[in-house]
Amino acid sequence: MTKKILAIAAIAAFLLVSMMPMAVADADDIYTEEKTIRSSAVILKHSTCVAIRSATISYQTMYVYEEGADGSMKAYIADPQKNTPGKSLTQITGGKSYEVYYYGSEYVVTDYFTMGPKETALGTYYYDIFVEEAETGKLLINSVVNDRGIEKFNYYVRSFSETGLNDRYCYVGVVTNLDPNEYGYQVTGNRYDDSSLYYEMEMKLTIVHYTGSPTLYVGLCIVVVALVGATLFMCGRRPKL
Amino acid sequence: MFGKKKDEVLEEGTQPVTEPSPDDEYDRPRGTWADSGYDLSDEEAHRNVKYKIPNVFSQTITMFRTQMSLYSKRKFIYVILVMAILIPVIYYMTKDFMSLGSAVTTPNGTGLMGLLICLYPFMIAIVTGFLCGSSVPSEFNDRSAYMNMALPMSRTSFMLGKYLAGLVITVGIFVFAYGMSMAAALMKYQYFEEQALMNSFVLLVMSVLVYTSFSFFLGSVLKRGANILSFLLMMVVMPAVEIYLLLNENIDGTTYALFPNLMSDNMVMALGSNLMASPGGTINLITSGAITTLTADADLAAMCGVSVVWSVAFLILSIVAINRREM
Repeated sequence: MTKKILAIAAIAAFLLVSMMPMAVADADDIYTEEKTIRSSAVILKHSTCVAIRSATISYQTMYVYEEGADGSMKAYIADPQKNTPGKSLTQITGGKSYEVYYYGSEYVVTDYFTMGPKETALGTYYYDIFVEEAETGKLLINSVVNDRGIEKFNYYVRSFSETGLNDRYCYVGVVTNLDPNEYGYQVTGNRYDDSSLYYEMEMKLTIVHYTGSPTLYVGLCIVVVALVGATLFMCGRRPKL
Repeated sequence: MFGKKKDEVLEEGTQPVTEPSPDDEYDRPRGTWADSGYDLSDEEAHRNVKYKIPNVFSQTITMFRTQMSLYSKRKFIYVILVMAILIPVIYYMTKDFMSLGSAVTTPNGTGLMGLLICLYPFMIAIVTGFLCGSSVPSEFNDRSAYMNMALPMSRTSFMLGKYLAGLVITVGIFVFAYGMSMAAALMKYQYFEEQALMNSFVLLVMSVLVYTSFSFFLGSVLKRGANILSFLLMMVVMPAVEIYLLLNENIDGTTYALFPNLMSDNMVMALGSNLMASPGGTINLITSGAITTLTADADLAAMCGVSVVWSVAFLILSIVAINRREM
């Protein structure tokens, strides 16, 4: 009996030792093929959002312009709450940058978990970005720049994916160490309405396409459970002493 | 049992051999074993065999088998396994109403797995407390320790065999639950984040190691079982201090993630879930995943190193405690 248990232990050790490098190798080879489907650096102003291909904004009215001061309007969505991007969005093509403006009130969190006394929660912006199955998007805010060109870096990443109709939007809480009370941050001009502050942010949207398979780990679980079960069975139900 | 006698039938004319009476002289010639009519070998007849005490490894295996046999009778284990089987069943029944929302950092297959296994930190504290924290005290309560200790058996083997059995059965239970959550996630997702899977699987094993060694140590020291005490220390007292230190910025998130009792939290967070049945999980949910964000840069190798050191230290303390324990 002891030999059998030792044999089981040897098999278990062999399988565990041999499967772990396989897991590492798999993680290197086929782990989440990260490809940037859309990458667009746009200007995000207060009450401004990025729209990529089939992206739209919830609860707001959105205007999409071509990049540049004289850019023509590419899309206008009057009622994005219905999650109907509209035909006009097809004019937006990948690989180009657009300025997107939306108007309306934004939800400002008040109990935001701040990571430092100087950091300020600017607010939460809602996005409704449509992605395909097995894709996960990461919205990365690279930097926050004030109107005087001073860049105070902070970033925030939110992930989202196609997980059902109610989960297709993500929210982005912009946490920055910019102090709104500091001189030069509250700009009287260049406001889109009288109540809003002015921030410029560079944003980048990256969609990650996952191709990783859980097969190895399913096998690992089955092997471990089977070995424990076999050991339990071999030891019997009666005390041996 | 004693072999077959060669000459069962007496030949004609011979006198039957009478049994020697107690008054007979003992030095009368009796022949050799070969002439006695028994055909067992010396080894089979236990002649000229020297018996030795089994080595420490064999003793450990014996204790391991004995403890596994005892575990096979514990209904508690089967209840936990049934609960694990219910994970995909419950998910299947509620998947149409379930929304991942902000409960996960990455709403994909691994994120859903993390959400389904969010009870893991709570359950591992309970299960290891009941299985490992009570294995030594129950020996004393059942008086079986007084028989085992009287045997020519090393107390270290006694302890190691019991601990290994607890470790193996706990790993089996939680890997089973892990597989069940993966099976449930496979109902919806085809693709998973393999790096997260690998990290979480390693952290699962590490957390089992940490919790079993600590519970076993308490069971070795205390006369009564350490079921509840282990749970309170690992899930209430220690996390309260650690969260206090984190929120007051006495420690950073990377250091926070290195506390061994938080390996179970780290395991769930590695899968991408912000929701955990633990004090840290509650804070994480209130703060919209702040702890997940703060601990995102924690080093897996460092976490494994701390866990192994913690476990070995408590195993050594357990050995010392049992060797010094008075009967």
